[in-house]
Amino acid sequence: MIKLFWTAFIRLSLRLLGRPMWLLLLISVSLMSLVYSNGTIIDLPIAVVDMDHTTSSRDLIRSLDTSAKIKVKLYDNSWQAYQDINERKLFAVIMIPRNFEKRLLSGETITIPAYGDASSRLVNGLIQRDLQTIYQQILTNFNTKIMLNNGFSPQQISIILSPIKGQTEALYNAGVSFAAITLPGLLVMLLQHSFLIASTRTNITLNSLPQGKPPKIIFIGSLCGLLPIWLFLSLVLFGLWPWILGYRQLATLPDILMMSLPLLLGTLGLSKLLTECLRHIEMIYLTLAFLTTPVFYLSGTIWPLDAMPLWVQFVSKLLPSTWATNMIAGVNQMGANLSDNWDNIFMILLLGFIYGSLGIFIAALRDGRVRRYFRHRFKHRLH
Amino acid sequence: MAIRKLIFYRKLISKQSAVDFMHAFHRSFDNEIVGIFKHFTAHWLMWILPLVIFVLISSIFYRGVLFDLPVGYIDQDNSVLSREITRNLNAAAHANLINYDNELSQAEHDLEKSAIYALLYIPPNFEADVLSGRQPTPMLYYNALYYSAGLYSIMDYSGLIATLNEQYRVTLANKIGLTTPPLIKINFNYDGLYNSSGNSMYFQQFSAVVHLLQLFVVSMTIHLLGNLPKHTRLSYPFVLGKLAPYTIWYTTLLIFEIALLVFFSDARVSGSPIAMLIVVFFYVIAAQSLGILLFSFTQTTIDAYMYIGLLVGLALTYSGIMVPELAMPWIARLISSIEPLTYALNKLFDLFLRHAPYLSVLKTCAILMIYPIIITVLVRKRLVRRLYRKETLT
Repeated sequence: MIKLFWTAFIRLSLRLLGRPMWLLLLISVSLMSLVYSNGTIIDLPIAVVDMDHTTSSRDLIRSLDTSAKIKVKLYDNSWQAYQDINERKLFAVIMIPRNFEKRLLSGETITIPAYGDASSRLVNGLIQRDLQTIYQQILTNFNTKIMLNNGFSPQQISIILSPIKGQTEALYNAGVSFAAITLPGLLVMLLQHSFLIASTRTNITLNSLPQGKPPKIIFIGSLCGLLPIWLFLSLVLFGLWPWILGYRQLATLPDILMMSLPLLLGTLGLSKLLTECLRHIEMIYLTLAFLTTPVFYLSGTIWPLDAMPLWVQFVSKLLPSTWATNMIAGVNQMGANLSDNWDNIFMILLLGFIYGSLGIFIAALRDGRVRRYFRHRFKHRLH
Repeated sequence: MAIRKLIFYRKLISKQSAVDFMHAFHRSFDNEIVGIFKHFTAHWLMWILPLVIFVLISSIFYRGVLFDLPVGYIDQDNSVLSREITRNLNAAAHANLINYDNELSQAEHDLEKSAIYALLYIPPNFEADVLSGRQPTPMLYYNALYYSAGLYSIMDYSGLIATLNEQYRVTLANKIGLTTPPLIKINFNYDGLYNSSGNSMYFQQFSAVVHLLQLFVVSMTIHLLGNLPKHTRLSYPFVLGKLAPYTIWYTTLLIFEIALLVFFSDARVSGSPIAMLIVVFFYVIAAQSLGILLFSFTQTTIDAYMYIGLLVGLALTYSGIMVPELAMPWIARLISSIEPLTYALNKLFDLFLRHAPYLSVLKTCAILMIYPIIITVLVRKRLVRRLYRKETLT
């Protein structure tokens, strides 16, 4: 028994090493990561239409230019600036109105309109926050000058302008790296997805061998043969990748393995169910390939689960990756303890067990074993 | 005379071959139309799965804007002012405040488990410190990893603090014994352009729908080519005739999905629907040619499907929705410019929301037509050979 298990385990592991199609996952992740190589946004072109051309307007432009996220481009007229934002050459347009300095000195209320390209939600949000911070700073500088002229000391000015120093502090993602926002959920989804395809394919191949179905121990051995490769992949994705892209990575390598193993086992259960439902290798690809994007959105990293309808939340909770993302992002990026995540591990394993059992039941139903069992019980009762 | 005859015969031959081409194309097209829904796989790829995914993605983002996100607070002051802050923050649209009393470790734990997306900490003696001019700092920590939720949950905070500061400014100036001079008031109005529905997730849904259609087209093309009967005389008009019904079907499907999305998001459409239809048509053709490329350069249909996985991630990442092209490093911009999705998505967005002239639509269509042309050159010898290769699908 152990020998059969071991033979199947070694055969599949060696086969995977001999034909390393799983490397496609790493190639795919590498190519996808190129887009995040800047970390966060830098030097995003922003137009400033200066219609005032005074010292105050130039001060404002200088202050805007201090931000690393944006690169100020000066425009003489708003028409050209809007033309360029329409053609995707600019990300935002800020207008400094005519008589800006004059109205500033006379104490009139001034409105500075700014328009950003809202088609990119993440970037637009970042730029809006950045510009608002700069604007607050500029306002404080102007008001400080006025109060100094009115006999206030610098300390008094600080107290009067900001009696409460409200502050916000970004946690778990210093500098708001795009990779840190996207990749923790995406990598869990990719790991689950690739393992699901590999294990379902292995199941179907073993089910349809010309010499007939092999013993169960061969199935178990072959499926376990997949585990070392995917555990290695989990180390690369959750241990090495954050380091390469420069975002937070806190879990130790044994912790990563401890979190990935339940995910892979839960996925094995799901693959058993899929094997019985799909039954053809072609259907695996024609189904699972399309589910990657929704599964990623369902993980709750880029859009919170609380904001989804109840039935979608239910579907999301049926996926091992949702629980795994919560656990891996929590431990690996947010510094939670692995011991606080037993509920996640339990749910992943429970889901795997339910899916596996359902798969076995469907297989038994198809083979006629369930019918035979009930017929036998019925006969036994009659006697 | 002889030259004239030669030209005449050439014309006749080319006319004849064009007629033959059209004839073969028609026959193949008609055959495919008749049996288009014979197999379950066709139903699966042509309407069941696209619509299931469309409903799922639309439901995920149905709210568009995030309201009442769970935000924890620890009020160590329990004064009138501190209660005013928590009450007003709770009354604002985006945060739903949860009292943790003084259990900081529990609040921290919930923040790490994403049970709350932000945590407001009001220090002891807060109100007394404000009134005595010691400028205390109520901190609002937010989850910047779960960025959407984190960002929305703190949205109302700075406005609230600014209002309170204005209220207490006069009191503090009076205490000092000086009159506050009239201060400058600059309103900074930041508006989002090209947001057709006020729904910030509209673009995400839109791009996901357009992106997934490309995958359906590529997969269907590979499936179709992989299942073509090997005994028939395979020729280009035959293959094109087989593919053409799917071009029409997927063009209609995408337009239908976009229409549904616009209808349910209540979005404004500023461009012409005809121009949109034309762009989608060329986009589907470009996607079909990618399917032909993958099929021709792989040993088996399964291998071709495996590479679709690569395409999924790349198209999604480089389409400009995750990170806009302007913020990408040059290498990423280069990859983005290879992807047909980038052009189609940009032009469709333009047609919806920007002012896209017809000339730019033609330009996009011309770019999208480069794909079939280049791919035809690349696969001209391989495709028929590949189509004859026998393979078994388990």
